[in-house]
Amino acid sequence: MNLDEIYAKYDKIIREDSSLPYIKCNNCNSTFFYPRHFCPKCGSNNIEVMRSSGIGKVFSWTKIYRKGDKWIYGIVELEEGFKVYCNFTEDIKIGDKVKVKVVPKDDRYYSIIASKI
Amino acid sequence: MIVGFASNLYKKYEGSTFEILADTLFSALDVAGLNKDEIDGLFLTALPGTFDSYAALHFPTTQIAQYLGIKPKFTTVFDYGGASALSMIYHAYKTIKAGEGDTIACIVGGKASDIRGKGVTVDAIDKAYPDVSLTPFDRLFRGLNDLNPVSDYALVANRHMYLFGSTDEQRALIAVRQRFNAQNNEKAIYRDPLTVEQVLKSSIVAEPLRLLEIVYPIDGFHVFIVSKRASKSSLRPIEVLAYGEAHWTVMPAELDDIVYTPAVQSAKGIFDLNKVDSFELYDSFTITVMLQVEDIGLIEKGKGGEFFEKHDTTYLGDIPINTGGGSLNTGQPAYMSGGVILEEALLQLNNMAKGHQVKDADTVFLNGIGGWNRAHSVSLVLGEAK
Ligand SMILES: [Zn+2]
Repeated sequence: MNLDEIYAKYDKIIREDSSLPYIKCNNCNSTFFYPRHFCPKCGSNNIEVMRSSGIGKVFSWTKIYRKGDKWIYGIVELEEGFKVYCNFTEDIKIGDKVKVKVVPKDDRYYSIIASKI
Repeated sequence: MIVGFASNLYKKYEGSTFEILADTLFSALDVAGLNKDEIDGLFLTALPGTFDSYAALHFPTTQIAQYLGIKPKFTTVFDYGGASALSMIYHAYKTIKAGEGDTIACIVGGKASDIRGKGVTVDAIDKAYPDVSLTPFDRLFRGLNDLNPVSDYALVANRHMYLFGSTDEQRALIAVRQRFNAQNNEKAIYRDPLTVEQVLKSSIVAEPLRLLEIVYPIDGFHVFIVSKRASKSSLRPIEVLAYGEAHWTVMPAELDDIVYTPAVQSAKGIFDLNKVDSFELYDSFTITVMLQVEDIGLIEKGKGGEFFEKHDTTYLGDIPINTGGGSLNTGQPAYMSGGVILEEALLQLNNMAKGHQVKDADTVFLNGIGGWNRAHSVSLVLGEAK
């Protein structure tokens, strides 16, 4: 799989039901979200694009105040063992159980959004 | 070896970036007693958007040499952001020791006011210049709403509080101490006394970080001249006593934890901290300083807040830190604080820190943190070789 193929699979999973895609290395079992065409841990090309349950815990967060606007940004640790940056839909604290969804933002980018469950 | 240095800092400079650069370079050469034709090497660090509001300079060291009218034998761009300034000094020192040149000009700075005027910060430069790439994973990152680097350090501060119980008051104390040190520093733009209450009352920018815990981006340059031609310089013969650098280039979300900086690695065992007279630590935010006192080994991990309660870190105290008030009080030229802490170290070592001089400062430990989401750490100890 090259990067274009990985992104095509990511895009398909996201557009199907807003699921969070990730990559699993079949050689060393590590998981990662930010795509490379090989495993960044062991270097193997034996990797697979997977669909995450989206279930995870808040790893850290911050509420940003800017020009009268405010929003929440942070990191979630997924139950499959990898972490992603996301925006949160509501007030949360570290350790809260959340579900992560991904939606296309435009032709090129995606929004990654987590809500409490 | 470090025979000259100078800085010019402005909240907003109306002219060209090249003007400030050239004026600062000539001032540094004056201190060194050298002229521009004697420059063998040009070391530079620059960030996108900080040169006359262009997203980038094509061949930046060439353009600078062109403007200055010099013909260097070699040029190098250092790519560690705010930590670059410290790295340049070491590499200039090594290059000269190796006999590859006599004199190297190290340049750090630019203009922050153009990006500041667009309402973004340099680590969120994509919001002002859509064609600048931030990471190899932009497609999955840039759809997010962040405020980097403020939001990145806010995530670290929140997790530090969660894991170790550090407090808003402890971080505020860092800002208060640094302001005390800035009171008599003529380079500082913020010099009024400050209290913990005032810091806590300042508006929250990215929870838990408040306005008075965050550096203010300004325009300006620092230039440092490293040379073996020291006869015309009145500065002490300052040498590099120890050095380390470390690079954790993964996205912080891929780190096991975000509360450690690469200073854990760059500073490890390089020098006996008991022999240090002052510490100049990168101060983009209060939390940055707290992380470094832990990571360079002044105290165990997680106790950075207590460290500031236990020790007097003013220039008069038992462990002086950021003795001129740091970039929290001078402002941060072109989104990089490395020049500010390096200049302060040299002022201390040359007994030139008027109104904030540490008595008998012979050895200074510097630590720089830089890069997108703090990927780089450079640790540097300066003093007179005995
Ligand atoms: Zn692997």
